Amino acid sequence: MAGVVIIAFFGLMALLAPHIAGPSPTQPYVAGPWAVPAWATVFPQYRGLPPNLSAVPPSMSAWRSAAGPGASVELVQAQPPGDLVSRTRQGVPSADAALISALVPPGSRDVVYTANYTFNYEYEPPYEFAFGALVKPISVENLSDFYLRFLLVRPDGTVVRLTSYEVMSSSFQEDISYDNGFRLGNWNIAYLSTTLPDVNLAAFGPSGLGMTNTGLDILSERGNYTLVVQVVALGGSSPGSLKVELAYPFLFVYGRQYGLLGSDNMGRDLWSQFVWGSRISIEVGLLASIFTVVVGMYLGVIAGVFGGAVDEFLMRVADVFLVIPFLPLAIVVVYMLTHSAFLSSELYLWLILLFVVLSWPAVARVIRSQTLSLKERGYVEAARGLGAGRLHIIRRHILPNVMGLVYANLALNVPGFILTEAALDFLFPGASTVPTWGRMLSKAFDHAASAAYYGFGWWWFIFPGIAIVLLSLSFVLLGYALDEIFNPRLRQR
Amino acid sequence: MSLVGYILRRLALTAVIMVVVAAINFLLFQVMPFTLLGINPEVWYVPAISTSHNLQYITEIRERVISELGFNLPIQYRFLRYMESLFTFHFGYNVGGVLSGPVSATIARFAPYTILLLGGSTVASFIIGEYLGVFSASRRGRPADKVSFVTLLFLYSMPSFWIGMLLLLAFAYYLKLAPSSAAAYMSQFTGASYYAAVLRAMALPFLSLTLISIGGFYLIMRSSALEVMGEDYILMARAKGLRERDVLYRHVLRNAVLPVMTVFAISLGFVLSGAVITETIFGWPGLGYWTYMAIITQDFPLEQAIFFVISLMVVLANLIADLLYGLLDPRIRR
Repeated sequence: MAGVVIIAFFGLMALLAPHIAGPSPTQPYVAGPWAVPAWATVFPQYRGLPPNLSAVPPSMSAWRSAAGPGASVELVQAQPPGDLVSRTRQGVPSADAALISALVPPGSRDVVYTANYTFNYEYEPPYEFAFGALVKPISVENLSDFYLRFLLVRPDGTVVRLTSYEVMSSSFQEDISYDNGFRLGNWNIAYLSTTLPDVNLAAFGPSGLGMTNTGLDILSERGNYTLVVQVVALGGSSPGSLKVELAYPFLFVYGRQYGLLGSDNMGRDLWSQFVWGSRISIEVGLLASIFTVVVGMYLGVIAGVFGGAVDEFLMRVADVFLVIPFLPLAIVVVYMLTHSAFLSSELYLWLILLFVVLSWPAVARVIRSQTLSLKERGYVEAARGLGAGRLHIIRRHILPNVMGLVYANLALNVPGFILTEAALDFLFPGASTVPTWGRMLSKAFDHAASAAYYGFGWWWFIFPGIAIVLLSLSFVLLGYALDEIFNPRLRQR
Repeated sequence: MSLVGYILRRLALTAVIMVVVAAINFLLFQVMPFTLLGINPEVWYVPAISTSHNLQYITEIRERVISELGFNLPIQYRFLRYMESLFTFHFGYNVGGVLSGPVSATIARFAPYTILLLGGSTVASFIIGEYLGVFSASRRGRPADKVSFVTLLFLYSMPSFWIGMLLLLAFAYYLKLAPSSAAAYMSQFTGASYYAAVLRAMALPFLSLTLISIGGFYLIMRSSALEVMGEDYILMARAKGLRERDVLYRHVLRNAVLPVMTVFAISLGFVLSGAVITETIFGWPGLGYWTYMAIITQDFPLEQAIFFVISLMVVLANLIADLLYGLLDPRIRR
């Protein structure tokens, strides 16, 4: 009974995967790396870990702002493209932008606009965070450059220069498109994240910071932080001007607690991987089992009923397949499949085929011996005496009587396939990009050494394994239950 | 049929099966896409600077691999050469770049590790499974039975790599009691301390394998014991007033162990192959580990040879199980 409930649970999960999975299982940094499951924060050692957090509001009207010398600011409604807004993770489609108009004297280096916002950060330090703003340069004349400067004032008063984000280089062009792809007259995103390998925040940090987990050092204490966004204009050789819109400044703290199952070392959603993984396990387990049992049933019945040379041939073929070492062969085959672009696209179908080819003999043997004993029963002999053909006997007398065994075998074969499939994914995580439980565990194991630093990543190691065990176990239980139903002798007297 | 006839028939069948298995083994490595067999020279040798000397070296190795695998010969010669190698045990040379020398020497060098690990854990889990099975059967339906049944079913359904991972995480990374890679750890020692290191490194894979394989023996033993306990002679033993312990361990266990013995014999046959995953995870340098490593490093002569040796062991174990059964149970000799 428990078995059926668990199977139904995972079955539903597999069916509803697109609706309950949430973010794409392969998308990095939906949360911070090694985020614990959100519910784990009830344990004392995880109390106070930050969730995914937007620290500052998107609308400039909520910010304290000031125009620099020779500049003026007004608030306008801005509606940047949705993909840019979603990258800031601010979650509102439109917000107030600051429209900055400034006259820039030659050779000057002025802060033409400053906005700051004070927020209270009352969590443990995060590993990583991202920050930036949306910028729309409307007109840029006679400037040698302008850039966005991000500063963070920590509770103790120290100022961290997060970065100076260059919007344009010193060459003047009508259409400012640089390596960061900024375009005049369009909304652009200035996006920086401590997770980007080429962002070296170390130079700006308060104390010689390393490249990894910069968030630990910068947002290291609880209290009031102030994020300062400045627009700095560098004058050219003649008087210039700058007109630019600034909106959606963001400081996104990558959570150290996230979702139902937390995240992996790259901040990918583990719940999503888990849900999608249930599909492959169930699909491979069930399909392989169904085909195995059907093939085994027919060949077993044929061998039993026809006997003689047919029986001998089928059973010797079965003998051969029974001695072929399953896993080593599977390893070789998967290796071959992964080295062929054509075959690897349908990796799991080939795996099912392999499982069926290697496993039908065991079923065929069981069915054959049952058939042999059925063949000697009175009613079969009576049917034969009445002139019934072999096909008739198979259809009317043998098949209905082996169905109990067939159903039990159907359930009992599934766990082996689920385990083998998971094992192959574990050994060849690169064979496919489909998320599976075996692949999750494989990746977790790859990071076992660094896991020690991140609370041992138990949420990553435990749940896929538990799922594999529970699903296999429930099929075993179901198989035993079916066996008892169809095999009354096994029932307790 | 007489016992001798039965044995002869079994032997003949075994020989036929072995030939077919060998042919499959041969064909498997023939249909391996040819691009796998020499296009990827980095696997053997990664030159720091690509000079003409290096290229020449790579080409030489590649040609050696091709001739080693016989790809310069027509297929029928290759097959004959392969069949011949099965008798001479000359399987060619390692080409994976990790190992060098003849493949047969490699197998002889690493097989003892597997035999030690797998043999030990199979025997251990067999014995534990036996006793737990009888114990469980004697308390059928009661809490002790239910608890041990579900626990062992749970262990039985555990993926071997998962239990290995958890053990490594707990004992190697967290408690730091065991090495995370057996091979790397053992290679630091020589002489008498080497054997101590082997035992130390073996603890985790041994535990892992034993936990996994108890379940199978337990389940068979339990059902077999349940069947035996319904027999008249057990009733008789009880009626004689024997102590329950004597009834269980002298009468039930001895009679119930027969079907489990054959399973035991067959699983001994899988000793060489059964632990690919466990050996890989713990870095235990046995044949299972090299089954995986050979394919990863494209050492096909080694892979093919391991394959053959494993199949041979399984076939022999099956034969022994059959003969044992024929010897012990006269009804089988049909």
